[in-house]
Parts: sequence; structure tokens; C-alpha cells
Amino acid sequence: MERIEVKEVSYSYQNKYQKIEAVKEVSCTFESGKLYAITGESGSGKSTFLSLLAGLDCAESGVILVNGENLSEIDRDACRRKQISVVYQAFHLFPLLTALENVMYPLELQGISRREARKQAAECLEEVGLEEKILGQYPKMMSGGEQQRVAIARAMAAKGKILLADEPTGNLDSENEAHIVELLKRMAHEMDYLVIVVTHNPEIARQADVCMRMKDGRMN
Amino acid sequence: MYEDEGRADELIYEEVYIMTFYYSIKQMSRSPLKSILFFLLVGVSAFLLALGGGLSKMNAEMMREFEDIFTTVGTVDQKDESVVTIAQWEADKKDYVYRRHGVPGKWISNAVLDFEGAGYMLEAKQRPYFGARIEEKVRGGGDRYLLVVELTAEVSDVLEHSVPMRVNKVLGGGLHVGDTVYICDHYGDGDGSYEPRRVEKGKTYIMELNESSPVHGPWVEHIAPEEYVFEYAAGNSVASCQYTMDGDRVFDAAAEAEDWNTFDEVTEGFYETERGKRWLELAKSQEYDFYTVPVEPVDGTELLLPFYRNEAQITEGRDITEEEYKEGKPVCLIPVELSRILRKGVGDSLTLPLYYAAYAPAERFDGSFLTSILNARGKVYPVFCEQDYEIAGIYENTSVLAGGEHDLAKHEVIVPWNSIPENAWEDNIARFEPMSEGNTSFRIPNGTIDDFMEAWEKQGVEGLDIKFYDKGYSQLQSGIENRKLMAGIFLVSGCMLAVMILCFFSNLFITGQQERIAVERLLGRTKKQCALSILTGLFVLALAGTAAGSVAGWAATGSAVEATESTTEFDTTFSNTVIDSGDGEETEITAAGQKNGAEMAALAGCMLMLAEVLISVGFMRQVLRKEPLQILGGLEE
Repeated sequence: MERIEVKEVSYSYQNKYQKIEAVKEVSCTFESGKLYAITGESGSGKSTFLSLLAGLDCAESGVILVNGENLSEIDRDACRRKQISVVYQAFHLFPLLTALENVMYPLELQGISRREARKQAAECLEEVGLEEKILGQYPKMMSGGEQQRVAIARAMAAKGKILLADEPTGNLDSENEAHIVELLKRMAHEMDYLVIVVTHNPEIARQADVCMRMKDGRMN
Repeated sequence: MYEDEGRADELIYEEVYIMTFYYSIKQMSRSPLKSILFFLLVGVSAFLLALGGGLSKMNAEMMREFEDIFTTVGTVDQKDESVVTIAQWEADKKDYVYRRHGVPGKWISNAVLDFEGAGYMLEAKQRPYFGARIEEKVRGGGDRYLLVVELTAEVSDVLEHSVPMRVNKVLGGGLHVGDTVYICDHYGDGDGSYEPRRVEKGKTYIMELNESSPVHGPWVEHIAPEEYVFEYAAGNSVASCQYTMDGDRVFDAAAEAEDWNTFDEVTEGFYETERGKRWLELAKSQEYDFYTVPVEPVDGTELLLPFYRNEAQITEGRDITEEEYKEGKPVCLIPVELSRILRKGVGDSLTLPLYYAAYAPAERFDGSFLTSILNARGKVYPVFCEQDYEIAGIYENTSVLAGGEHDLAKHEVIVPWNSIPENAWEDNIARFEPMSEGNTSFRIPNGTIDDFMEAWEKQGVEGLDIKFYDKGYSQLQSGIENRKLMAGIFLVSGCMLAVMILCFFSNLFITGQQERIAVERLLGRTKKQCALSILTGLFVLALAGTAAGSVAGWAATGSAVEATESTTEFDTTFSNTVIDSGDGEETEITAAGQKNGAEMAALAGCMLMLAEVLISVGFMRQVLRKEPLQILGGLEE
């Protein structure tokens, strides 16, 4: 049972001209088995909030508890390696590795043998609905939907049960978008993932179990 | 919870490192064009560096060898200022023979050679040679030369041909009382007014005699030419030829009063007179002379041209060291013949009581060169310096056979100049001649002849002829400089190319891989792991390129060494030495021992890899400073 508790979290950063208060005293709770959608206009702070949840940065104030452990006090690299996965709009696959190798990568990073990693990666890719012929292809040979599925398969392979997705359908056509949303829902409902999606897409927001909206850094 | 899993993680990390290496290489291999280009360019850089480094090292070694092989020595000769004609009486022609010879002008002091910009390694000095009386007789006066005898004329006649005289008393030399010898004023220096002298039958004369030419004239008609009977001519008399340090004659009344080959009539009580006493002293001095060896003080063995030209070589023991020369240690070099006469070898001690000095080339010692070794008071010069010298080396000199005024004397002993107190011989100078090649030399650094001459010409001193001997270094110098320049170009271009290539490709492989780094960070890799992931492949490729380039550079250097060895045979064909000696012999000097060690190639490779590590780590730090979100955000925008 995965659980993220966010308590009074604030975060600001300095850009070239001014200090931006990106997240302001946000408190909320996320649990596995649900698909969460965080919507909001550009600059509302939702992507920054997601990066705080992913442990890519530290909150200035407040606490983020991942399964009861304060994210600012634990090894966040290890946390990402083992518990939290992130997928992005631009997929961010390794361009010089095949689909299979991209998925094997986080497995081998955990010390799993290459043979076992290959097996598990193939299962993950099958799980996200990719055909076997895709396995040996490089990202540039795949469609956007396929690339995003590989990215999600890579996230699944990491074995963490928390998936954070930042505009996962932003670069996809409607058909592929539907497939991805379906996949995310399935992950939440059937595989008991805690899925948080940051999106502009009202369709995802509509299909999410919980929809949250951010405005000016605050969560409504 | 993650701290608890630390130990397990460590075990995992070992596999992760292998995996990191695997994926790093794999990704590198999947951009073959960039990788091959990087490999080749790094290889070229390493090649240039190894070649440049190898050539530089080879050049440095050659230069060191050259410095041993080549030395630049200069000699100074005072030019004749005018030509004079001398009328010399020749008895067998019964006429004067006119001879012309050059005469130097006012003697020039060697102090003029001490000038700014000379850059001496060994300064120019006009060397005297010293006479040292040793235990063994080394010169034969015998019955032919330097005889001091009383003779009674058997006939009355003018000494314009061989006149018989009976030996009455022998004061010096190997003649026997009662022998008849033939005396002739065969040669008489002069201005054309010289007249052969007359002897009266029954009168006794004292003379210094030297064997001259075959007898001739009416008194020897009974002697067949094939009997090879020689006449004697009167030689040095009792006058002193003492000089000051400035080259001026010290006043001696006897010298002023007589011709150089005066002889006296011996009458009752003659030896009680001043002249009589001088004749006795002369006989004593010539006895001294038979036991005298020439000793030449010098600042470096190479300043003696026979040694410089390898005509004189040390066959036993060693040379006098630079330090011994500098500190004036009592060590010496002696010739083989002298070592045999004295039965002394290397390490033995040789006592050298020095009693006169002659400012003239030492080889003159071998003839009857000195007019007199009596000082202006009519006495044999007293010993001015005596000390024991250790024989450091024994040399063999072939230049004596060739002759020439810069040769060594037959029994010449060589000692450090500084082993004798400065100017200790100032009251013992028996001869003074201007500076000449045989006794005035100096050493300057190789390749500085032009600088020396430029500075010398600024002095405005005329009348001296300066010659240089460099064994052809000047001709080789430009070749050496070209090689140095070439090696420098290889090194500099290799360094510049290396830096540019490393910066360009580090930028390409590191800054250009920001996305990969950010994704790896998202997947939970630490910064260190990310750096390893990126750099491993880069380093492996750089290492391979560097190794290949270094080996190629090493091989190319080897080829260059071989080419050099096959073409670089240094001889002294172009040297003044050969031109000057005119004997047509060439002294070949090979610049051997140029070894193409792999150390320069290895060093070049290591330096290149070090540069690669420093540059790429610098780029990596820059990239890792950015947070993954920042990178990915930038990419998504």
C-alpha cells in the first residue's frame, strides 16, 4: 500500500529576474490504487510540485512523507530507484538503446542479472501493449505513443509502485492518448499503483479518480 | 530504510559498475562516426605528442652528446707586423745568404683578450712552459749538442771552413780530451757585416758547441764524405736572456757586450774572472738542461690542440678533471716515453721543481731553443716552485711526429695552471715570444663563435689572428636547430590539437548527453554513477586512441632515429682542424647511442590521458551542477 502525505509544503526558486513562489503551503494525501490528476494553467506550479514528490528537489518548508518516511531525510536517489518512477511528456528514453535495453536499464541498475532483466523487461513491454518487434527498435524508430509506453514500461520495471507522470500525453495523438490513459488507469486499478498525473488534458482529468487543481502554487 | 540496505547496495554496486561500463561502451559504439572520429583525432594528437616528445628527447640526448663530442677552442696568434731581411754567413758557400722573415710588432699582452662579451668557458691565457729538473736524465747532450769544452787550435786560421782543434778540457758533454774536432763559424746571424772569426794555433778557447754540418775546406781533404764527419759551430754563450713579465729584456752587461755565439780565450786565471765563472755556470746549466722536462700549465686538456684533435690520447689512467683544473690539484699527465724513463705509472708521485719559464710553444723545448738558462746575474735560474704531483694519466702523442708549433714537446708534463702560484715565475722568465697558436688558447661555448667575434671586433684591437676549432659544430648547428624546431612544432601542434579535440569531444559527449544524464538521475543514479556512465566510454575510447597514437608516434620516432643514425656521421671535414692540419685525415665522430626509449611515448600518452580526465571532469561537473528537472524542463521547452 503506497501512500504519499504532503503537509504544508512550500517551494520557491529564483529565476533570472525574480523569486518565484511555485508551491505554497500545499497539503494533500495520495494512496495507491488511484489515479490522481493535477491540473492547472501553465506556471501554476504543478510540474514543480511533481518534482518535489519525485524527490528531485527539496521542499523549503513542510513535509513530504513517502510511506511514512520524510523525503527530505532519506536517500532520494535510492527512493527514485526503488519506489518512485517518473515519466515525461518528451519520453526521455536513451536514444542509443533499444526499447528492450531502455527497460532493462533500471532493472540492471538494481543489480538484476542481464538475463533476468531481459525477461522482466520483455514482460513489462508486453504489459504496456507493445509488440515484440518493437523490442529491438531505437526510440527514433518508434511513434510517440510507443515511446511513451516504453517510458511507462521502464517506470514499471523499476518495481516502485508510485508513478508520477508529467503531461504523459502531451505529444500524442488522440488514439495514442487514449491508450496511455487506459494504461495509467489499469496500472492504478489493477496493479495497485499510485499514479499521479500532471496534465492540461481535461480527458485525463475527467477519467482520474481524484482530480486536483493548482493555481498560483496553491492546491484547490 | 535505505541506510539499512546500504551493505546490500554495495554488493549490487559492483555489478552496477560492470553494467555501467557495458552500457557506456554500448552507447559509444552506437554513435560510430563520432566515436571513430574521436579515436582517430585523439590518436593523431597522441602521435604528434609522442613523436614531438621523442624527437625532443632525442635532440636533447644528441645535444648532450654533441656537447661531449664538440668543443669550441680558439687560438690567438700575433701577426707579423713587418718583414726583415737577415744576412747570414754560410761557410760552405763562403758568402752571405739573405733570408727574410716576419717580425711581430710590439708584443701584445693577453690582457686584451679579457673583454666583455667573450663568454669564455676557459679564458684566454698566454701559457709559458716551465723547465723542471727531475731525477733521470731525459735529454741527451751527448757528444753532439750543448757541449762546453776548452779547445786548442791545431792551426791558425779563420773559421770560414772546418778548422781542426784539439779537445783540451770537457766542462759539459760527451767529448773526450785529446780528440780532434772541426770548428766552423758556419752560420752567423747578422746584418751583413759578420766576419768569421780567427783562431791562433796553440791558443786555448772555451766554446759551447753544437754539431752542425759535414766538414768542408782544406783541412779535411783527407776525410772522405762517406765517413760522415761533422763539424761543430759555436752556439749559445754566457749571456743571459732573462725577461720580465711584460716581455722586456732584463739588463745583463754580458749580453750587451757580445755576439750571441762569442767564445773566449782561456788564459791563466780565466775561471777566476767574472766571465770564467759564467762559463762554469753555463756548463752547470747545460747539465741541468739534460735533466729537464717541459711542464705546461693549462686550464683544460682540450686547450692543447694535439689533445683537441685526438692526436694525443690518454692511454692509461684518466684525464685531469674539470674540478682538479679549477682547484689546482697537484695532478699531472705525462707522456708514455717519460713514464718509461722514470719508471713511473698512474698514481705515482712526480716531484717537479720548476726553475725557469719560457713564453713560447712547448714543442720548442725539443730543439736547442733556449739561448740560455742563466739569469741576468749569470746564475742558473733558481727553483721557484716545487711540489709533488700525482700522475693521473699517461698519454701517447702522435703529433710530435707531425711537428708544428702547436704540438706537444716530447716529454711534456701537463699540470693544472692553478696548481702553480700566480706569477711565481716572474723572476725566472728565460724566453718571451708573442702569443701564438701553440701557447695561447681559450674555450667558448659551442655555437658562439659569431658572438665572440662580434664582441672582439668592438675592442678594436689589431694585430691578433684568432682561429677557431669546433670540429664542424657550426655546420651542424643549423641542422640541430632545425630538428629542435621540428620537434617543437610537433609538440606544440600536438598539444594544441589535443586540447581542442578534447574540449570539442568532451563537449559533444558530455554536454551533448545532458538528457541521458538527467534521465539516469531520474532513474535513481547518483551523480558519481552518472559521471562514470558517461566518462567510462569516453575514457576507454580516449585510452585506445592514445595508446594507438603513442605506439605509432614511438614507431615514427624510431624510424627517425634510424634515419638519423644512417645519415648522421659527424666528421671534422668541415672543421678548421682539418683545414689547418692539411693532412687530409678525417676524424669521424658518430653521434651514437641515440636510443628510442618508449618512455617519451608513454609520458605523452599519460599526459594526454591526464588532460582528457581533467577536461572531461570539468565538463562533467558543469553538467552535474544542473538539476535533472532543469535539464529536462529546458529540453521540453
